[in-house]
Amino acid sequence: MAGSPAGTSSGFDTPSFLISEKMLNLIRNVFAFVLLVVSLSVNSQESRPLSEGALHCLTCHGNQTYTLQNPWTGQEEKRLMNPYFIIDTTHYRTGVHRTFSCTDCHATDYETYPHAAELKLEPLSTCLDCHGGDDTYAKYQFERIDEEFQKSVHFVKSGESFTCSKCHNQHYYKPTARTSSTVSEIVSYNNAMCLSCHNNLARFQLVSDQQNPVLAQVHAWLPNQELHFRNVRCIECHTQVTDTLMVSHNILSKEHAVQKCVECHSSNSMLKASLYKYQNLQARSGKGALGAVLQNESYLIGANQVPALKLLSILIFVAALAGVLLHSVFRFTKK
Amino acid sequence: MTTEKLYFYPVWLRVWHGFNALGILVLIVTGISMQWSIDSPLINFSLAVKMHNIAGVVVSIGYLLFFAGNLFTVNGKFYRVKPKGLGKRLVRQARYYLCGMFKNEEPPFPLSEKRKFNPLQKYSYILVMYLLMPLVVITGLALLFPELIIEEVYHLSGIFLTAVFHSALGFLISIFLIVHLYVASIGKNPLKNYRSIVTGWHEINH
Repeated sequence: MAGSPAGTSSGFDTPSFLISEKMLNLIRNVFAFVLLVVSLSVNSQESRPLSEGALHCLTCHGNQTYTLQNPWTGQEEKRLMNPYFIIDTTHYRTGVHRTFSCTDCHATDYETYPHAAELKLEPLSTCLDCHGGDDTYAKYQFERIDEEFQKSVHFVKSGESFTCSKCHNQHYYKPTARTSSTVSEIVSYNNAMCLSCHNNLARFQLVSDQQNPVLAQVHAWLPNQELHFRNVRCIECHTQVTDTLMVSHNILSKEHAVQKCVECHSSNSMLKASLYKYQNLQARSGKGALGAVLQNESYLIGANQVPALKLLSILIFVAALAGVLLHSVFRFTKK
Repeated sequence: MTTEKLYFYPVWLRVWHGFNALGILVLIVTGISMQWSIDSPLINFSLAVKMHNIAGVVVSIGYLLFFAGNLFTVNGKFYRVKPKGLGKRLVRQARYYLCGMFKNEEPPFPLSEKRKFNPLQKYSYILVMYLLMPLVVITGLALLFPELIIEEVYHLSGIFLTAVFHSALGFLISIFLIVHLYVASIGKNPLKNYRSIVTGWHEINH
């Protein structure tokens, strides 16, 4: 990952006879901290300079218009760029592939201009061409993701035409689930991926001849629909949770998706294995220690889901009943 | 021994009390049922939610009636807090319930036209009606419109906190109900008080 803490304090040798061991440790820690801060700030700025190759292409593809030297008329013409070929540079700069040259994935022939028409037919690299079978990405388990994906409703219904980039826009993709510290950001970013087709007929038709289901209607059964849409990801119900993958890519059809409230609304909430898998993010940021402790065992509905309160309520209830019982026994015996 | 009949409970109060009692019972049963969500052994979850919502609204409107009744009629005077010597009065009454009544002592605060409730009764009613009830109504209404609830409080879900608080309040009111029903049976005739809240007339033996 770009911007991950790099380097250690090795090579920072100070003669130990001048400075005590304690002091040395302190300097080491400070040095490590500074490195961490620098690397984090690089990460948070997320605006590393674009590659020269990309900048070259973006002179046209980063703008609404481009200028063309028309060989037929011999004149310079200004034309509108096809909106589908415009790259949003703001988003590109924060995406995971921001340091890439366009020709890392697109044909190098694109460097000639005007582009040859048949270049449109070039088979684009797939994600696994780079991410598969590479130790650098081993921890993300791309092969397993592919296996899971091939079981998903997307692959079953649309086959190979349903590429990774249908959801993960290769130009802008951010691994929000791993980098964001707020659940709401993770939720909205993730749901936007689903909505990019399920709320966009043109894109939906690219992979399916069926009718795009109206989300509000097919989810009419769901209580507090709007609230759910805002606070949990579609994939919470529409994927099979796996323990070893961050997100299972086996997207489930509505017939197989979760419809039982208790799957999430219980002490054994499924959300713990999915959305709140990222709760460690909170712990990492150090802000949510209280939340992590209190919410650990619980999720709506009701006090029953807080074990300490449940125990307390049982004790109070038993005490009240015992009090009443004891009092009535005295009343009858002392009459 | 003479029997004095006092008209303790006016019609509006009895009507409110009736609706409130029914509503609270429905709320308790459905509230407990919902704790298991859809695996409830008591009532089907969606039916329980519907019943809880309806009963909640009925009890909330009833609460407004009670509140207005106490604001605009003489009944309100029985709910006024008198801090002076309060602790002593409560202890005396508690002592009576715990041992005095078993020794056939006279009640320390006999009921009269001026005193409808004994101190323990009065202050438990004040606590329930002016603290627990408003809170349970407010949190309940908030849960009916969860989009209005603050999203996060110190990184805890606002809805989660409201739900837990609402359930805890509901639980305390249930405990009050148990004690309320039991204490109402205390007296020469255990059914006397139940009859009073239906007829409005309270009998006092001198």
